[in-house]
Amino acid sequence: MDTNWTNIGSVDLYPQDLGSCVLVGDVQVAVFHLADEQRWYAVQNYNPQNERMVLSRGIVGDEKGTPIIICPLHKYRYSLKDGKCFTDEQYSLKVFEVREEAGELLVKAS
Amino acid sequence: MVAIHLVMKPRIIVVGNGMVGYKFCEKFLEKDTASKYQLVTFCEEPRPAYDRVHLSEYFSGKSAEDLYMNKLSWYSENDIELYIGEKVVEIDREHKTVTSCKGKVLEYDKLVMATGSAPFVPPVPGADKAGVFVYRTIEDLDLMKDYAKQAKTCAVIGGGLLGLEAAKAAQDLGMKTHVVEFAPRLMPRQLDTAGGLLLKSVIESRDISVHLNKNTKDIAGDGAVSKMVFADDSELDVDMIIISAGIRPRDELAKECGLEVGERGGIKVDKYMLTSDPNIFAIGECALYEGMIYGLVAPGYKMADVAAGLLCGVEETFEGADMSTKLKLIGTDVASFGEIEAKEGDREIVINDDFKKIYKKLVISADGKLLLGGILVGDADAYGGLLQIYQNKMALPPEPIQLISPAGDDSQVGTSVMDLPDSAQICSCEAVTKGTLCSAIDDGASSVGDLKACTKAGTGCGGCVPLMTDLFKAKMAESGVVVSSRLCEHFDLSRSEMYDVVKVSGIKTFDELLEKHGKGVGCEICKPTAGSIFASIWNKPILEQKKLQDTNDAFLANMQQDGTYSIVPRIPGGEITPDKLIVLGEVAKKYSLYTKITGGQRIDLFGARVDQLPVIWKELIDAGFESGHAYGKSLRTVKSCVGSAWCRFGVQDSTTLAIDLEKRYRGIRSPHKFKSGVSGCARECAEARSKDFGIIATEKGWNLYVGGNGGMTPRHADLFASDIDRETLIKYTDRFLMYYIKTAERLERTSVWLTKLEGGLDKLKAVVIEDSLGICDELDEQMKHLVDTYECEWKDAINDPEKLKRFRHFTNSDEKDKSVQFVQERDQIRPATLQERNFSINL
Repeated sequence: MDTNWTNIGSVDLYPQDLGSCVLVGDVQVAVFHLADEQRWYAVQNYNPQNERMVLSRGIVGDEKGTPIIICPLHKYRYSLKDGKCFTDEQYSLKVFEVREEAGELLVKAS
Repeated sequence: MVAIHLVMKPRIIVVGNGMVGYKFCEKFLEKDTASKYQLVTFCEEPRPAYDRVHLSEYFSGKSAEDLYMNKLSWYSENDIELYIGEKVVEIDREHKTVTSCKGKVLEYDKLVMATGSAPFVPPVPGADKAGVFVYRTIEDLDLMKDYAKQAKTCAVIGGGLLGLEAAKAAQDLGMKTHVVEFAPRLMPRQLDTAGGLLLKSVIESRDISVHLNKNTKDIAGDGAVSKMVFADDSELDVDMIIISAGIRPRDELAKECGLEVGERGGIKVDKYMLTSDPNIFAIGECALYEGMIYGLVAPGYKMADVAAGLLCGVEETFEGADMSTKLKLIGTDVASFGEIEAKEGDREIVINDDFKKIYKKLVISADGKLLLGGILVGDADAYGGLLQIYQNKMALPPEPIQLISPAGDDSQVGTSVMDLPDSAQICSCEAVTKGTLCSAIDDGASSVGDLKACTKAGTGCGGCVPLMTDLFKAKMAESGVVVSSRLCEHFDLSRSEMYDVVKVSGIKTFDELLEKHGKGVGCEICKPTAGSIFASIWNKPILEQKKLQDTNDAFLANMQQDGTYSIVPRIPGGEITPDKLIVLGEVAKKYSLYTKITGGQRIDLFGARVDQLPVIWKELIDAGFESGHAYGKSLRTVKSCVGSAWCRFGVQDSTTLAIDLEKRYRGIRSPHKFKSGVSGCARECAEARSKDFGIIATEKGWNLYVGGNGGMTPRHADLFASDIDRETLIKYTDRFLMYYIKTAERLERTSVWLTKLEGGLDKLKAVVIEDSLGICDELDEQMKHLVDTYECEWKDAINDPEKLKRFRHFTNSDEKDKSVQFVQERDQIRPATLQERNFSINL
């Protein structure tokens, strides 16, 4: 499938070391900033474990150096790099590309 | 036709690329180290092998690719010629060739039949109508998904393992679901009558209707299904039917080329998986070994292993397999192994708990020494251990009931995984022994995930993962890896140590704390703990450090199961004016919130979206409310009775004291939440002794109790001081709370903390009353600071645009989150269940 970069607005709208949710087409994408690496990650906002749109509201961290997002509802941990769930490997998240360009954030998801 | 044979290497052709056909390729690559053969495999379906065991996950969010056994590129990387969507239509044994549906003719040296099985469709009139489906392939699922859009009611014919999986899938598609079973119980192969009955009641409680003893006579409807008619002339109106009445081996190719097949189907094989033609193997569900077709993945894998071994000169044999299985069906655990009914002379132990919906049965030899089989429904945690005892014929403990006694019973004596012999098979899908796992750990596997990756154990049905985890932990402990009270991988400190470090060195940010005392980025354990400690010591509004706050604290509200929030304004002591009650009603009405009275004498407003929280709080604050901190690890409420002001038995003014105490300690962050109550007389209507600190009025003053708890582990609070005056009461309470905040571990309630405190209640009295540690000045000063610097977090937040930034669902859009949906119940809203939701998840 052809996917395009979507501009999701100024970097200033997205807090450091935290998650935000954006709408790309009808897909809810959770965008995260990791201050430690000074970079952005994006995964699906939908947590397949509890079937809720909540991941952007989770806390970010790392498990043995791999950046992770932890679901705010039941604390399932997912790798931000490849979407794999550390807590229960039957779950995984779709990972999207995200990059910063001239003060704007772009995600590749549609 | 000219046969093409360009490769010089002898060629093995695998007919069928299902789970077992794939496993053969994988096992073969491992064993064929000299790369003697060229592997070719034909796949009838339009995609490479995928995990059919977890097929229902296709409806709960997984894509077809997610279910692949291995990536498409894996085949070419390993030099396997894979023909997708190309079915083999003919085998010429004389010329040793196969012909595909696209006319390709290939010579083989060895042939492996892994053609699998097809769903059995009973000869019921009307089974060819629109709306009747089988449940085996992703294509079947796609067709079902499409049809389900116009269907409201679905029946699954067949109450076996696969039928119940299909029922879950049908329910996930939003249909009212029925299961129709011919036998008098569900899962007749795996369960006995009582186990089947219990499973039936569990499934019915999940809104799936179960009809037993039903023989479908006719599928009626004009072109499409509209109802089922049973042999007893009863009827069921349905718009869709899924048939899951068993499998039939795909042996048609074998028959046509003259291989020996069984009377009721299946390609006959010997213990080497060889058919009647010494150049042709058959493995998986198409193979018939000693009159048995094995419809489970573990025996199929074993067959693949045996055939691959023989081709590479390793002689192994297949000698049948037990049909032990453990799985989660419709949210409940079901497992069985070995004999499920006692034969003459055998003995049984049965636990049948209709309240907790748990059924456990062990079948034991007459002499009480051997475990012959068992059934577990509702709680299958014991499965791994029991299976080991059964497979390894290990001696049973003197009281075998302990093996299945309920969790939490200290006398439980499961078999330690370390007692197993090295030859014990831990993972039966991948045939991995304890010895193999132990060497992998010795060779450096540092997590259960590592173990899975390097041994493949636990990657099939997953039933052995708990046992693997136990083994991993036991091995770690054995090799001296100390389990410390450290918070998490980022800090070698306990919570109380972190508290002291922060206090003594005046650290005010997480980054500084991490730099000086930790490592990595942090996680959901250390970040909120540090945030709480900063608040307990410095008392700045918690959203000043947004990134440390988890779930509830992050949005100053209580996140509910559907991702919406509930709001609890403070109502000190449970006293509220009519005007304020009206405001709560009006706000709830305006924003369509569900309202409920809490156990702590306040009012909880549910169903607010994240973007609504600031506007709702603006209205509440304008009306004089403040945050109730129901979202924090902090004081909840001080519950009270009306005391001497109204009650004819009251001896002191409990309401006033409760209000004063609640206002004094509001918002203080602590290791866990804490609650209080004040009763105006010994009748104890405020239930003060179930609180972290509780006060009961006496003729002479007040009795102070500490360390009580309701909830999961109830504990009556201990009497700390009697007949004290108000001033002393506040002094003691201040010190008690500060000492708890300073020394307790993360998420440790006062009851547990007090039980663990060395010296117990006497020690606590010495510290608080006699200042035995010389810290009372510090405790008093700290509490004064907290009381003096209190601010309402919500008032602070709504006046700070920076803090409000995150209170919206989409940063780039004003649209609402469409996945949040409510239905009406008893004139109020409640979250729509997954079945009730009308929303498609786009990823």
